This record gives sequence, C-alpha cells and structure tokens, in this order.
Amino acid sequence: MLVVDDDVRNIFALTALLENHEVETLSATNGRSAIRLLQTTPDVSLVLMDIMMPEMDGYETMRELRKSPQFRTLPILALTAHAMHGDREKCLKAGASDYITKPVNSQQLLAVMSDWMPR
Amino acid sequence: MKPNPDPIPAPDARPINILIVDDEPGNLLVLETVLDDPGYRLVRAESGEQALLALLADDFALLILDIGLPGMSGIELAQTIKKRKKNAAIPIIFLTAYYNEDEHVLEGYGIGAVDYLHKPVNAGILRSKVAVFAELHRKTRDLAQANRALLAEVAERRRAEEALRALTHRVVQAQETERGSVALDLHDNITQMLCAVLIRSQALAERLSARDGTSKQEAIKLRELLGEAANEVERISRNLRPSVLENLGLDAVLRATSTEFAERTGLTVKLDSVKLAVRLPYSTEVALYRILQEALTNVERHARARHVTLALTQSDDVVQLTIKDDGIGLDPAKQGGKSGLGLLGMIERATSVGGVFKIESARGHGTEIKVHIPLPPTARVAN
Repeated sequence: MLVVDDDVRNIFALTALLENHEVETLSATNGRSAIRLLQTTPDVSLVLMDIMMPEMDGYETMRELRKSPQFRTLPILALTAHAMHGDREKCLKAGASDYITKPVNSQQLLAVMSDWMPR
Repeated sequence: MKPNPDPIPAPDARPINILIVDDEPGNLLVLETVLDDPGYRLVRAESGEQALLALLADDFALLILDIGLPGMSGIELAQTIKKRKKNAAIPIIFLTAYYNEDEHVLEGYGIGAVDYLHKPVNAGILRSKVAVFAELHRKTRDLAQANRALLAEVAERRRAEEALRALTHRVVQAQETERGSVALDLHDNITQMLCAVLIRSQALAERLSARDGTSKQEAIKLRELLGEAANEVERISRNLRPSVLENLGLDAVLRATSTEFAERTGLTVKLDSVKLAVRLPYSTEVALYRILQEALTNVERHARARHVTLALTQSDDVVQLTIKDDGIGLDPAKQGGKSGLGLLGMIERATSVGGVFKIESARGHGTEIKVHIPLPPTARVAN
C-alpha cells in the first residue's frame, strides 16, 4: 500500500500504524513521485492520499491517475483536514474511492481500509 | 529433505547502516571523516524529515543525532522514531553543542537514548562508542539469522515427519483393505470349493468298499488332507481379517491367538494379566493385533524359543502390549532384509496410532517387545 503525504511525520506515523497490522507500505511526499512510483510498482493494492499538498495536490493527482486505464479501479482513500460537507463530494468527483478526515482515527482508518483491501 | 549439516549460516559480512543527522553539513562531514570504515555505511540527513524518510527506506543499526535541529528537534525526532515498533530498539547517540542543553539530556534518557556526546566530538571516544554498538548489532543480526535458519530447519523436519507419518498411515490402511479383500476371496471362493471337494472325496471314500484296499485308503487320506487344507485356509482368512476382533475385542483375540499358537508350535505361552477395562478404538486394536501376529511369526521362524510371555495391560490413558521370548535374541548386525521389514512394519503400526514401539534383545537372552499406545479420552478408564 502507498502512503502519499507532504508531511513526513504523517507518513512515518501511518507507516508505523500499518506495519503493526502487517501491511507493507511504500511512501511518496508529493503527487508527482506518487504517480511515478505507482507506474513502476504494479503490486500496490491501495493508496492513502493526502489532499492538501503543495504543487500538485491530491485532487489533481487522483484526476491524473484516473486518466490511465491501469489505475481506473485502484482503491484510493483521500485524507483531508477539511471537515466541510462538500469535501466528500469533491474528493469522490476527483476519483477517490473513499474519504477519511484528519486527524486520522486509527480504528476508522483500518475499518475503511478493510472495506477496500482485496481479499 | 536434504539434511543440513551446519544450520548456522556464516556471519553476515555486509556493512551496517548508521544514520547521522545534523543540520550543519560541516558537522556531517566531520562525522563521516571520523567514522570512515569499510564496516559502516553512513547515511546522512540534514533534517528530522530527511531522517524519517531514511528510516522508512532502510534498516539502521545506530542513530547519531544532533539535538539542536531546527524545526523538528532531535528529541522530538527520537520520540517519533521510538513509536514505530521496527525502530523502537535502535540505539541513539545524541550530540549536544552546548552544556546548557543538559536539561535535554534528562529528557533524552527518558525516551531511551543510549548515549550523549558533547561537541566538538572527541574522535577516539566517538569511534569506540560506535564500534561497541556496531559489534552488538552484528552479534544480534547473526544470532537472528541463525535463529531463523534453525526455525526453518525445525519446521522442515516437522513437515517431513508428518509426511512420513501420513504415508505410513496410508500404507497400513491399504494393507488392511487389501487383506480384507483377500480374506473375502478366500472365504467366498476357495473355502466353498474346498468344501465341495471335501464332500465329494467323502462320498468317494464311502462308495469304495473294503475290497478296493489301497484305493479306499488313498481316498480316506485325500479327505483328511482336504480337511486340513480347508482349516488352514480358514485360519489364514481369519488372520487376514480378524472379524473376531470386531465382535469379541482384543483380549479375547489375544487369548485365542496364543492358544492356537501354542498348539501349532508346541511352545509354552504364558498369559500375564490380559484384561482391558474398556474397548479400545478399533484402529488401536488392529495395530496391536498385527504387531502381535508379526512378533509371534518372528518367534516361530527365528527365535528358537521355548517360552513366550504375553501381557496386555491398560492404565489410565495408555495401553501396553508386551511380547517376550527366551530365544536366541536378535543379532543387531543382521537387521535388514525380510525380518528388518517386519520390524519396520511393527514400528509403523505403533506410530500410526500415536504409539511407541520398543524392542530389547541380546544374543542368547531372548527378545522383548513393548508397545505403548496412548488412548483417546473416550477410551480411558473412568475413575
């Protein structure tokens, strides 16, 4: 699974959490390198995507990914600090499979992940 | 399975990774110069963020950490790192620039820092401290590797044993099935035919009058021989498929077998405490019966014994069969060939029902076979 966040502390904390649940993780600190990493690593089965990133934000990254047939069905869970009502729709419209608000509640994250993880 | 004579692999010769974190490139250069060693691979980070990325990408044996990092401080970085299970045990050497940072020293010990050094760093002290941690890491790494190899070896052996056991079980089952069908054929066909021939030979003997002399005697002899043949086939058929085992249980069969054996071979058979409090599982009864048959066959063919002692006892959770003779004993050098196969078969019978087979023998001092088979809770004696 791939964690995309511009804040390395978030990546580190999420990786530590996921490792405790036997999830193997990769990470990227911006949208551009996330796309590159996905193109070279075909066995990523889920992406955790921060929305607020400098340069190429999460919305743009997801739109870019969804253009490629290879990533059309890849589960992408959007992470956003915004708790505004319209955000969910905006994320889903940009191509997110589901939506998690920050700060991340680990129980909630794992529950949503297990909905999207291939069995 | 290929046996591995030395499961402990050679020590890992790869250099160990050391992460050095300082916001001053000049300080990093000093550290790189002091710690220049083919046994170390130094990875540099100029911020807490870079350090975290390096930790995500690689395994490290040691962290050398400047406390006074801008942004995320060294202490904060250490706290973050220790929260990750994989990194929690990495030793950290903190570098402090000023003695007034000593309050951080206590803070650092609280999160499990291993050491402190004040800048400017004394090269010799740093080198020797790093060498100690490096050695510790190498030892731990080699130990973990040896441990993994041993665990794999144990798992492999267990798999092989289980496979052998499953195979043995199938062989024994196939043997029982095959014996059953042979017994059925013997009983349904050969015995029927023998009986028909027996009746006709009886009729022939009766029809011939005393005047026919030798012909009549021949006919009578023929009838007797046919009778013996029929009995023999019946005995073989019974041994192949001990239906009496199902009906009467092992203790009854053991008594019948020993009587028949004594009559046929002329040996003295002594029965010691043959009594079972409950019926054993059928597979256990069959296994013990087959072992008994094989053991008695060996006594008859090879032992040149005069006395045989049989015992069948049951305690709380175990049943034991003992077969002892006063014959010439086994020659350990002659194990193999046909009698070796018989012995293997007995061991297989015992292990296929979870039991233990033991044989004790010495030249001129007879042979003693002991079989222990644990019983399932349902077959145990109720106290």
